[in-house]
Amino acid sequence: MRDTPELSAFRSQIRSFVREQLPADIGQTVREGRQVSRERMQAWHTILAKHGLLVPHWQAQWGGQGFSVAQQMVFDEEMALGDAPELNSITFDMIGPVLQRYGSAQQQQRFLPAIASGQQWWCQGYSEPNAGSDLASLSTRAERVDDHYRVTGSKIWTSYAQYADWMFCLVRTDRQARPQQGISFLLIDMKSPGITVRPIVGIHGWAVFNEVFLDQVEVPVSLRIGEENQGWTIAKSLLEFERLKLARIGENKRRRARALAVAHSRREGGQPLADRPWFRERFAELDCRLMALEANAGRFIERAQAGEPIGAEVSMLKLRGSRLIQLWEELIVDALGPEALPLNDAWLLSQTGADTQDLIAGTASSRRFLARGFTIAGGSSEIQHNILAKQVLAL
Amino acid sequence: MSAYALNEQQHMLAASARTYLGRRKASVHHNAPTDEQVNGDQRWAEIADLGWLALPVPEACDGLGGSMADICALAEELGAGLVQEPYIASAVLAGMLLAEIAPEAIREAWLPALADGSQRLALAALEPGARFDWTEVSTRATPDGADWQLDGTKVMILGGNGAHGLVVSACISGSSDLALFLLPTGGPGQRLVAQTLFDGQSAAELTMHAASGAILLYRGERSVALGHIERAWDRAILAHCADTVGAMAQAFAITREYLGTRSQFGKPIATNQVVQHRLVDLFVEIEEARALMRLSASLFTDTGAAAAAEQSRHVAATKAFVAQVARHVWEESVQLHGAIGMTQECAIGPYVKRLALAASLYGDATFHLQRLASSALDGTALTALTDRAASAPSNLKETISAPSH
Repeated sequence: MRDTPELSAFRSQIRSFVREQLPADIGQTVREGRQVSRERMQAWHTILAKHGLLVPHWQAQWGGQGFSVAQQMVFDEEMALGDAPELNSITFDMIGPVLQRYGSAQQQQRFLPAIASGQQWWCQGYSEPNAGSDLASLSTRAERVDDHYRVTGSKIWTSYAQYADWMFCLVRTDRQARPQQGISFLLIDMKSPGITVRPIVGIHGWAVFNEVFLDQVEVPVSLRIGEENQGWTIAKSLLEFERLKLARIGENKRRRARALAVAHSRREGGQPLADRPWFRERFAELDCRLMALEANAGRFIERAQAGEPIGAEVSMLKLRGSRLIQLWEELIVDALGPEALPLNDAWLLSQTGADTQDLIAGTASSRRFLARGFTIAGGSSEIQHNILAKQVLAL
Repeated sequence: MSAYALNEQQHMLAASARTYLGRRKASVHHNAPTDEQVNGDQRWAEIADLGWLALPVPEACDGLGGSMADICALAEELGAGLVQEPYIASAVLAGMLLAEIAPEAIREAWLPALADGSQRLALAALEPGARFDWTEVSTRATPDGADWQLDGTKVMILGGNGAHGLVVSACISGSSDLALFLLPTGGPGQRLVAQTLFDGQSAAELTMHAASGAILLYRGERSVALGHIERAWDRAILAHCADTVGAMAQAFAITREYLGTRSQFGKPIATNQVVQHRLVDLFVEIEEARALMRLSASLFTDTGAAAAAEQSRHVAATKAFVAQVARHVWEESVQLHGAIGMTQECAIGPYVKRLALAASLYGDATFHLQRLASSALDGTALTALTDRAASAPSNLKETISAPSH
């Protein structure tokens, strides 16, 4: 979509903001493709919150600015291009809006100010060892005992559970009902007795996933969102904006910039890599796909701006955006050649005393493996195909 | 204003084109139209009556002064309706070039005639053995008193068969200048051979041996002249992308319809997940192609050198993308139809051929990927993709230089 003059001015503002306010060490860590520690993330949250930019898409009464969809897309893109770390969408885009929409007044008062200040972290307890894409088959059960639920089961692929203060969780409260109907939505304090978090190290070498075991964890009934057995409806009501964001255009552009940086700093056959025909063709191939993705996203932004529903068709953005990131990562790995092969665990994990490696080469392989998960998480590509086949093409 | 949705006028234009083409198709059935139908005056007069020919012509010269978005809205229907008349080649490629560069007197003489359909033009800019590279010009123009003599060969002149005049690119003998001439057809020293392309559209090859009677339209420094030629191609390439998007969408609709009705193993083919996912891939690619094409068209309202570079970059990306999707769509359309898709009588057939042609016509994917790579990897256009807030300094530059520190 083309920027209107107002949006273009807004873009400049955000760009200046990131340039002036993002702490240099955080920008550096992001540029290197390494993980930002919880402590440094917290510092960045505080800066954003101070400027009203941590939850700008929230309602004003909860500290938001009511950014339009177009503004929010520009905001995300400029944050990505300015080397700001990706914000935890589970906290800011999922549980925050769910609380605003379905939470009781008491729940809203208790959690929303804490989230908006950037001090409270959440994780999402949806997937289970035997319920991945088929979420409705989950079996973690909650039994009602007076004014508590007693929750037992396990969750898996729980990103950032090791940092989280709270988990929002889908649990089975009625085992007789149809799979989608016996599910409730609970908020669980991660400090509760009976919770164990086991980090899972991914093929990329980072522990971003966890397994979370719940053994007779007591959860007050007052921490249930919505009615009992209505959790599925809430879980499915991902806001449309969240689905638009899954195009991950800013994240794609960030990788495009890395590919350019490699092309201009490496040589082959007596030429800069940027002049090699194979590289040029592959780069241009991805570049035109990115332009098509961005144009297509613009179509949905325009609809959302006009207040029209964007519908199931928006699944195509997730489908294409997640795959394109993988292709950029592969191009970067291929362009680096032997430089992308060594592994330096200590450096990757930001441990003290680790030797620095080349900024991009040092993380290229890990990033490529990490990106492999993008077509699996948040509804696999196969699920997106099914959604489009059934709900859009009516096949 | 929306970049993606048609406005009311464009809707009306598209709807009237659909009605006219639907009526026309009913009279032709599955047979290929005759040469007379494609190249003859009758159909050309019909589309002139509909206002299509006046659409790209400036209002000052009896035209409608339509935008690229208007032209693309119409072109989508041309593709969906399998139009074989050289509308894009004549009215968009050659006509708009003439409107841009020709001296006033020639504009006034030719443009109203183009708009009312009484005259037809074509662009003769490609030469043998140079693929789609319009910068390869070895045709020479030598002054001969007040006249010029042209020598050389031009190929793949879309719409050249039946044109009244050809816009010819040529180097000026004894000078580094490049020029564009208007060569009325049928004059001495020229030989124009008609060709039929494999989907039934027509083209021509032109051989010139001391061809006379050419009128100088434009003469200038090579790079400036090539800039005009590139802009002419960009407009036509984009219109052709719109045409192709229209044809792809129709091919998809036909394929989907067929798979919903054809039964195998006791159920419609479209109930198989493997088939559904492949249809979804085509659908998504076509939607992306249309979005990129319409976005590109919306950029043509801007003027100036920076805007032209941005337009070129978008056109190159659009054509590279559309060419790849067109190939995917026609190949999958045949595969998913099965054996019936291999036959001349099947409704998908003309679309298969049009899309196979479209993947190469006006430059194939590799040609345009190279253009796009130049814009992204060579110098000044480096930050153009991300740096749209012109006033703000680019962070991307910092990102790019970081690894060398």
